[in-house]
Amino acid sequence: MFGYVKPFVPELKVRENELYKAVYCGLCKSMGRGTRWFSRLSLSYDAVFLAFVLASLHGYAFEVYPGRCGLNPLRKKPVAKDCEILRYSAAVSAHLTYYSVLDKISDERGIKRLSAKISLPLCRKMKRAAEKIAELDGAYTEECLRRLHEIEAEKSPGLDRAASCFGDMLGRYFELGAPDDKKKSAAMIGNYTGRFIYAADACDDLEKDEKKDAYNPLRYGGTDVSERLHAAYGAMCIWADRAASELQLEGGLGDASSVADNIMRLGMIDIAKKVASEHTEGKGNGK
Amino acid sequence: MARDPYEVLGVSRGATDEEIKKAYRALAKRYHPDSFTDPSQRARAEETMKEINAAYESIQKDKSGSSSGSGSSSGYSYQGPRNGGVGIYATIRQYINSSMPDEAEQLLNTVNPADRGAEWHYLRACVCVLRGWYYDAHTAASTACSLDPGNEEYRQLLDMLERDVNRADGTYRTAQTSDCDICSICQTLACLNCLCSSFCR
Repeated sequence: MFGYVKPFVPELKVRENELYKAVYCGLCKSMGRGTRWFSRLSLSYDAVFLAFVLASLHGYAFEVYPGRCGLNPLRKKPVAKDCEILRYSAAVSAHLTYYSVLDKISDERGIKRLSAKISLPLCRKMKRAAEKIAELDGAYTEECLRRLHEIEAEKSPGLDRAASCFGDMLGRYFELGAPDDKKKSAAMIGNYTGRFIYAADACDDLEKDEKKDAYNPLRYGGTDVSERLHAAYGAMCIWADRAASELQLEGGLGDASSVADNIMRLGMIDIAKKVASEHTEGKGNGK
Repeated sequence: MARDPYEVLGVSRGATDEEIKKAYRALAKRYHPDSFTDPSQRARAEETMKEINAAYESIQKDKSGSSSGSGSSSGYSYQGPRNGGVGIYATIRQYINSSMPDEAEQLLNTVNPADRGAEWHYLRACVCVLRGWYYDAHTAASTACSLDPGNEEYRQLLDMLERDVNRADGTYRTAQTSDCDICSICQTLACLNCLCSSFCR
C-alpha cells in the first residue's frame, strides 16, 4: 500500500514509540519467515497499523525481546516476538503487494512498469505463501479492484464511490483477522482506513495526474480545486475520527490501542493536512 | 441478567475503593458519549456508559449499603431533513429519515439534470452522509448553499459537517500548538540566569 498510516511521533509516549519500532521489526522478521525474504522489501506502515488494530481488538500485548537485525547486526534492538497477529499482518502485506504490482503493470508506463513486471514472479510466490499462512479472500479483493477500475474508467467525479471500493477491500482483511465478536468493528475500521488511504493518495497524486492527464477523482466536479481539496480533507478527518471512535469502543486498554489511537487521531490527520495543503501551495509557488 | 459488575469494570473482587474508582474513571473517560460524533457509535457508548455506571453503583451499594441516584444521559440525534416538501422530494425526505439511502438515491437519479436545484443537492448530501460519503456530502451541501444562500436547513447540514471535521482535527491542532518549544524555555532560563548572576551577587 502507500504508507499514509503512521504514528504522530511527538505525541507518542517513549515506551509506545519503542513498542511501535519493535512491532515494525517483528513484522519484518515474520515476513522473512512466512512469506519469503523478498517480501521484507515491501514492509509498510499500513501492515504495522493492521497489527496494532488487531492486537487491540484481541486484547493482545506484544512481547518484546532484544534481537538483531540483518541491516545492523552489531546492535541489539527491541523486537516483538512472532505471534498469530504478526503472521497474519505479514500475510496481508504480501497479498496486497501482489495486487499493487498487478495494478502498476496495468497503470504505469516505462521503467516503473518494467520493474513491476520483473518483480511479478516473486510477488506471485509471496502471494501463494501468504495464502498458505492465513485464510485470505483473494476473490473479494479482485472483485473490489475490478469495481474500482470500472469507476476509474468511467472518470466519474467525486471521491467517495472509488474510495469506498478500496475501503471495502481493506475492511475485509481487517475483518478476517479479528476475533469473532469484533469482526464488524474491525471491518468498519479497515473500511474507513481504506477510504482514507485512497483519498490521501488521490490528493497526493493530484498534481502529477493533472500533468499526465491521468484519472484522479479530484480533478473533476463543478467547484474549484481548493474547495475540492477542502472537502477531501474534511472527509479524511471524519473517516479517521470514526475509525478511532470504533476502536475506542471495542479495543482493549493497553499500549497497542494507544498507539493505534495515536495513528488515527493524530497521524492520519497530520497526513491529511499535508497532502491537502501541498497541492495548493505548490500551485502558489508555480505562479 | 447483567454481567458481573466487577467484570464490567475489569477489577478483581478484592479491589480497593481506590482501584475501583480509578478503573471507573478510566472507563468513563473512554466511553463518554460526548467524545463520539457518529450517532450510532454515540448510542453504543451511551449503552456501555449505562452498564459501567450501573456496575459502579452496584459495587458501591455492595460496599456501603447506600444507594445513589443514576445519572441521566443526554439525547442526541442526527438532524435529518424535515419531512415535507413537494412532489418527489417529499418521498425522498421520508426515505432519508428512515435511513434508506439506496431508495432515496434511485429517486434522486430520476430527476431531470436540468431541474436539479438547491433542494436536490441538499438531499443528495443527506444521502451521502447516511453512507459515510463525506466528500460528496460536503461538495453537494456547499453547492446547495451556494444555490440558495438564505436557506437555513442547507446551512445547518454544512455547519454540521464542518463541526465534525473541527472535532476530528481538534486533538491534532491542540497537539500542534501545545508542544511548547523546549529551546525557547532553555533560552529564557539562560537569559534569566545571566541577569540574576550579574544583578544578585
